[in-house]
Amino acid sequence: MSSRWKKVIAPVAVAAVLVALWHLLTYGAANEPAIAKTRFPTPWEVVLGFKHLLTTRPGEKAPQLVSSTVASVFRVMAGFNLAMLLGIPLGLLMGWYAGTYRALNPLVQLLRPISPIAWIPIAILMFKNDEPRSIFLIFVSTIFPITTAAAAAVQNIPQVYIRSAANFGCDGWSLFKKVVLPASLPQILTGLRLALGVGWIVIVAAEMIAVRSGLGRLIQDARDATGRLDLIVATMITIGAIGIGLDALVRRLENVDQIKWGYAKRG
Amino acid sequence: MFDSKRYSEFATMSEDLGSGTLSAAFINAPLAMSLHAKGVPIKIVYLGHRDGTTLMVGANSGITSFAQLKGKKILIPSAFSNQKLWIARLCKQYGIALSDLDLRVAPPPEMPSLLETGSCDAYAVGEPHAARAEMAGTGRVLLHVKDSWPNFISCVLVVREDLMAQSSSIVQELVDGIAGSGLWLEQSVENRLSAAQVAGKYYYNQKPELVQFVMQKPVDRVRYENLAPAKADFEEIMDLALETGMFTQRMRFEEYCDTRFSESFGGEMLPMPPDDGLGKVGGVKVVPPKPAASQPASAPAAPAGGGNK
Amino acid sequence: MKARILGGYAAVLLLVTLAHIWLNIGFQPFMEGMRDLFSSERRQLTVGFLPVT
Repeated sequence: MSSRWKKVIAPVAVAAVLVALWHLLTYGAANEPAIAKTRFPTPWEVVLGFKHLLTTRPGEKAPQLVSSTVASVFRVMAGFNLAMLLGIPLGLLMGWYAGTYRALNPLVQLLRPISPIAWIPIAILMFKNDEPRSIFLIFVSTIFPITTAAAAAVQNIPQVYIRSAANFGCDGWSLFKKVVLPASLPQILTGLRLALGVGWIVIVAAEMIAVRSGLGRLIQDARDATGRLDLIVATMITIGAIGIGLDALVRRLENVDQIKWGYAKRG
Repeated sequence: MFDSKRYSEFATMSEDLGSGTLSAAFINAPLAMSLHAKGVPIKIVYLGHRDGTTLMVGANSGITSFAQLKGKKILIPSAFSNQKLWIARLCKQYGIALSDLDLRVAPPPEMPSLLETGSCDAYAVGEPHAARAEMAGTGRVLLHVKDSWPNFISCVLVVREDLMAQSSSIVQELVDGIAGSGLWLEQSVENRLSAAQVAGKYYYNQKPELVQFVMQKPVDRVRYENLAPAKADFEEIMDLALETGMFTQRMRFEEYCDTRFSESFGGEMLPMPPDDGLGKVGGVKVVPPKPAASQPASAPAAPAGGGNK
Repeated sequence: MKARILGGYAAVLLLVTLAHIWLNIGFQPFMEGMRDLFSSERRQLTVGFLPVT
């Protein structure tokens, strides 16, 4: 058996067993059609739910699932990018200058555990429009892990690198560009990966506050319509799949040479 | 041009009204009054509909009278809801203390399943969430509010004062649309049913049969006439609210209500424009009717109030 | 290499943004919305509601 096949067969087998179990547990109740009876959908009903979400309604340009995915991905990317642009430099500064760290870290750690859902009323106050609100919520939930990771990355650079660089007369911006940045990249990337995961989780909650599109909105709509758990489960599966995809993309970055450099040293 | 925006809960709507992002909305009457008391610059200008709330009990519960609900768990949509005041009123009628009931707040869409699983003994909420339990056979109607508190007010149209000052003609147009389409809906059952079709199709995933059920069985489950705010109705609400401790200070009707728009309505009926299959009526300034459970969002048309609470 | 990654990322970001505007907002409403940000005249009234009676 080729190794690629071996990698695939175990998870597929697990999934197959789970789906079979799922079907057995839900099949019985499914024979009673009802509008209000909320029960867990059968696998087949979820497949039909996907079909419903993947048909384009009249007057719309794409199936709901597609437009919703684009909306959510857009907001996560926008918020996440802003968090990177602000958070990485801030973290690098904090990692390098002990004074900055002492001054800012308590604030960062104070704000980090606050659930983005608690930020919702503030987001509503700050922005009139739906898009900036959701983007802000993503920003606020991803910037602190990114900053923390960047700071830790710089702080963890072995002193020997810095000293050897100094011996070669490397300092200032050149030191930063040639030593500090490459050495901290792996840890920053791990931080980015985690933050992206958090952002993707948050977007569903962030979209439940009356935005007009997105996967969170899709779930809220299905809830409001009551008894559409088939749509909810289908959306959940989509969210999970996209989460895996996003994570896999970031992991591929880790394999890029300039970043692997950092790992080789630790390995 | 009018557009509608669907919210999932009142909290976000209240915040948006407060910050000025939203200038007009259908919200629960006591909530409107309490927001005004808190300083949010809104006024009630019209009603959404009358009646349309039902007290449901479990199909097999054997409960046939409100008195049997003493000591039981009853769900309401919000602490500031007229459903709560209705229950208080019923308590007075049956000689039970409000504190003898276990009142809890729950999201309306989840009430039918909470009743089915026995997590509650009864719930009072607006349509269509009462009808869903009825249609599924898991719940039974204990009381329709129309038989208990006639002309019950549930949702009202509130408008921000700055909008009224800036463009009162738009507000008038909105009120005219709601009033006119209400007249059309009251004309015949067929009108209601065709409105239900539109609502079900474009109004997110609510099955048309459900909305039609609400519109028909019985026909006057929800009414769309006589929607001008009247002092007597609101004084009654205020009395009950003060009694139950919902409000601590009495407010005068003139403070939180503005009746100029309802008084200026010309009486013109507004029929639903033909369904072009896309949920939008291009370029025509008409108001689609108010379906019981939701508001259609047609691009240039004002949403007809209807089943909002 | 770095340039390629950054370039590709920027391209994806632009693509997703445009797709989002196209699918969920519409280019025309988007332009109108941008104009509304700067004009004081009211063009549209949004009425909020809850799908419950």
